Amino acid sequence: MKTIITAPFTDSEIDELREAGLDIDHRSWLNTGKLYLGDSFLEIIKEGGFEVAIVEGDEIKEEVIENSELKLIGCVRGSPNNISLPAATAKGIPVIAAVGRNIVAVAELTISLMLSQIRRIVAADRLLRDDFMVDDFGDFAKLYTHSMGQELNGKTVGVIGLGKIGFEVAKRLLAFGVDILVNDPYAPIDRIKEINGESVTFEKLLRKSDIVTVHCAPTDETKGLLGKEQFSMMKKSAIFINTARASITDEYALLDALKSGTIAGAALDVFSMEPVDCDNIFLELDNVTVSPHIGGNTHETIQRQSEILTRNIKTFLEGGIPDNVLNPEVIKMRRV
Amino acid sequence: MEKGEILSELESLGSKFEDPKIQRRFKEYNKTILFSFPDIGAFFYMRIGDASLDEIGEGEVDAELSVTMDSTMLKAILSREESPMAAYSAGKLKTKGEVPDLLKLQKLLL
Repeated sequence: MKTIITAPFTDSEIDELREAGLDIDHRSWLNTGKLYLGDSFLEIIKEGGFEVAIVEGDEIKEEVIENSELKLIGCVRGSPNNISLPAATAKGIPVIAAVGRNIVAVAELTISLMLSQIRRIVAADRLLRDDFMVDDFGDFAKLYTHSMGQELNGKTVGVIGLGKIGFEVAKRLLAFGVDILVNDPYAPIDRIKEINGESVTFEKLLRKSDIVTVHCAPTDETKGLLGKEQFSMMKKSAIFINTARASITDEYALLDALKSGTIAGAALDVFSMEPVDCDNIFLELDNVTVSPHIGGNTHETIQRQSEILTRNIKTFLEGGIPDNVLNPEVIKMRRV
Repeated sequence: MEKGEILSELESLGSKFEDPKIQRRFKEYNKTILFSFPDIGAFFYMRIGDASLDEIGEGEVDAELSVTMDSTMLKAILSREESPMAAYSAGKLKTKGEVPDLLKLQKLLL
């Protein structure tokens, strides 16, 4: 089957897929710098006569699905909103996703951002890069005062959303000797106990936490979960971390809270306007660490997504039901 | 939204070109954006010429980038109640054009 892969994918897994019989054209967007939106991917698929497409952000929506001969769609993202699942299901095309590819990466970045913010690592780096000169000991005192941080040990960390990523963050936090508060109406008690957490109301979490970290999914229920009222409930010394999705916060309310000193600082990896560049409005604030949505951006994530997709595609080729297929009903229907 | 209100909202984007960052981003950028509002059956266009808003008008014209959304969505985006990216992801804002033009439009709308 002729296959196009525009997602980053490891050479060893491409070789494995070739051995399994796929004729692969690998054009990672990291090399081409191209993103196909709307129906623009259709021309590529038709020209190449591709039956399998593995993408990351490229859109495969109704017009592409209906007008191509695709037999299998794969996406290296966990919950791909760039693929029209209803259209694929209607045409009997299985859609495979790399669920869980970036759990460790995002959890580790969250801890990194927490430490960066509480120890003022980026703030100190920024000061030095801004041509700060030490000509006498008073300058050094100024530098030391500016970069004085706090220890994570003994702090209270509020985890909003104890899903896979929130859980991994909490597990890692245990090593720092923090108290963990959890707000997640769907988290089983055993899961909360496992991280020595205390299940609390949303308001209590906001009022008691020294650090608030968000890990809930972007849904209608969580849209705008944190706004002006919620930031005003937080401690003035609180640090806010968001490595989940921008839609969970009212970004302008957060900006105001950071400017006005309602909260002490934030570390953010997700924004309403992405890709992030030097125009990001939070870069103007010294009390914020900004990272350009790099939560899942690790070599290990690419390795994991390649392995997940390869395993699933091989299962599909062998006539089985892949464990990460988002619409298993289309495969079951074929068997009937 | 009434047509006059939309025109006024789009004209207000002209002041964004006073921002040095927007000027830098749109330097030597000479393209037309077509806005389509199916809910009121109206089209508006915006011609950008080398970091300035050259012309805004009503009507369907040839454009490098076309943007389709309900007029209420334009208002929500410009009042910052909705982000263009979220609207796009939800299928409430549709575009046709090259990715670099979309990225520029996003900067202009926010």
